[in-house]
Amino acid sequence: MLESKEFKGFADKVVLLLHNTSKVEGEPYPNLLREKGGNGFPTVSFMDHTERVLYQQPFKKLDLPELEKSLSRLQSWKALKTLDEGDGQNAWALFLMEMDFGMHEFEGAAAQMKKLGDKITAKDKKWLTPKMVELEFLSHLKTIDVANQKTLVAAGAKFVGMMEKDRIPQGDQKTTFWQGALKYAHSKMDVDLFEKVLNRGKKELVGDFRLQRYLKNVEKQLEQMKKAKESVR
Amino acid sequence: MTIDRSLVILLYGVLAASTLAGSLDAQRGQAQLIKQRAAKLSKPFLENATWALDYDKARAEAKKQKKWLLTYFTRSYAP
Repeated sequence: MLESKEFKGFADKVVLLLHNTSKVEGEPYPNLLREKGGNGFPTVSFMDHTERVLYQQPFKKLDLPELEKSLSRLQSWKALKTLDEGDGQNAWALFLMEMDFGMHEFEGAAAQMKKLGDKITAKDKKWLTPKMVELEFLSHLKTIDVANQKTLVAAGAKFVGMMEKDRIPQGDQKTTFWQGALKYAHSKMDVDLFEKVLNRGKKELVGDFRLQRYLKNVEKQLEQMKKAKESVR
Repeated sequence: MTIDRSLVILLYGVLAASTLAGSLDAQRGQAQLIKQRAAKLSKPFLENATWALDYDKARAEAKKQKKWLLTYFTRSYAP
């Protein structure tokens, strides 16, 4: 695809940057993909010169029609943004479009929603809610350092809070949500909370056969916690 | 208690040899990574369009041309 005449034509519309992660010592920006929110190869990002990621897409194989479509949608967004700068009438439409692109992080999105007020349709609200849940989850996920269990426990406290509000993420990393919440309950030796998280997690992860062994181990852990509590009485 | 001097020399020798071996492995690893990078950067697709390889220069170019950057993240250390 990258060698085609069609791609050469498309290339004139953007500035192309090849970022190759080589693991060669001393190479500049070795973690750029991760810093820009990506986590797999190959990934394509549309960015502006201020380093803001406008749209990002992981590909199994690069696809020109997809790139054309993304660029065209970004151009529509830019046109709407220009229009909105005049009268602010399209603020919600603009925000929804930006959410669809993945332009916002949780705190920024929450602040923007507050600013925009309640002029949102029920349909749009329904569409927006799970996206906000994922963003909130990701914002806590970013605080976890895999080498430091305390950070998982701290994030777990936040995950429990989300669970209590019925804000359950469904994305690829949802397992960490349950692990963190369980870790937090265990750190407090709160048997009731641990059981509550486990039961809810089992319901949510019922179709994921890879996790059944993990859940069995967690059940054993629960039994141990119950026995320890009994022995203290 | 006395420690046999030849045993101490032997231990130092083993330690030095393992450090050297580790360092040579790292050098060989880096040499391989440099080779893989060169192979990636000589792919024909880079001749088909104008690709920037420098992030700072690419951003400056995007600002100058008033265009968006399309960044293609790839890797050369693995297939």
